[in-house]
Amino acid sequence: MSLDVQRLTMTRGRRRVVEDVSLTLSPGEILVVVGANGAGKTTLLDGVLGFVRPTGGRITWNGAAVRTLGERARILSCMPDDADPPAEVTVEALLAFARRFGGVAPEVASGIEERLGLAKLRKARAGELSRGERRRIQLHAALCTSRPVIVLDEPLGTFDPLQLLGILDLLRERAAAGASLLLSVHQMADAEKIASRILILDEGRALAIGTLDELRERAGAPGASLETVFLELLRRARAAA
Amino acid sequence: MLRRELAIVMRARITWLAAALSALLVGHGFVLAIDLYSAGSRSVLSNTLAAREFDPLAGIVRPLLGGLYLSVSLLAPLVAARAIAIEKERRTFRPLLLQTARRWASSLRKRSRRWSA
Repeated sequence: MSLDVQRLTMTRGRRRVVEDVSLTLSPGEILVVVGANGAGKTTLLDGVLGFVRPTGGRITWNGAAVRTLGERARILSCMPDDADPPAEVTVEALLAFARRFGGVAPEVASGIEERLGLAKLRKARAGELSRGERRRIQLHAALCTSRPVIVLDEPLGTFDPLQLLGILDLLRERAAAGASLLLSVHQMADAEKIASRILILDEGRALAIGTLDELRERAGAPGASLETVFLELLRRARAAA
Repeated sequence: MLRRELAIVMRARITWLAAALSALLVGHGFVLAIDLYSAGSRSVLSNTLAAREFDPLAGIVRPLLGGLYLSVSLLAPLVAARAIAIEKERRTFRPLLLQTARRWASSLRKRSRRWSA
């Protein structure tokens, strides 16, 4: 059971934003996409989700092509970076909605609610919440699912260090339960904490993909942080260009 | 789904404005229908055959239902457009489709199987 993205190419207007990117996502794996601003992280995830139509490449699940919304809906759950729950709707209604369409056992859904600290916000409307609280609701909707692949765009950006620890644990638990996670993360330190493999994007192209140790080896920087490895690989790529 | 979209719709000013306009339209139609029916009923009192055919269902209820039908035709697109616009503005529309498509697809499949059986 794996999601295969083969040579995905995407354009926005005349600009080629993602070019020939391939990746494989296995059950229990957390693949983190990192890159500079404008590297194509969000566009890549949008392409996998079908929000932006790829101009080239192929996405398959267990060898079968994934083309339509229905096919994507069977395997993918998502949290976009820039989405906000409608301000008019109560947290209770949003949680019930996620539970209904997520298809997970009630105790799993309640567990996720509890871990994200959403139980005490039930009576509030989404418009009355802080940005971090709204992000937690979006995260709940994405994680409260029985679908095998969870795609999260910048899920760690708005949380304080304590919340971040809890959320990283929750993501690890979802992966341990068999879900495949595809994340884009801006902060290298956060990416290093959660990733089982890392995809480095630069100007829409995949610079490298592998575990942190494999990337360190490739950069010739044993024991270095992801940030150092990223900068080194970026420097080499730019020098070669 | 309904609860979520209803919350968006019910807290929009345009919904209440459209509902008020519809109420005026239907109310005015009702008053006119009553007026016409009472004026007509006075004139048919002398004619037994006409009195027998003079039905409140045709004279009052049908025009009223027609008014309601017209109001719903005007109100429903406004309400639906508002809900979709909000979901698009908040960038939750496509995730919403992705979240709900599986359930709708399976329910459609079940229904089509039932119909074809």
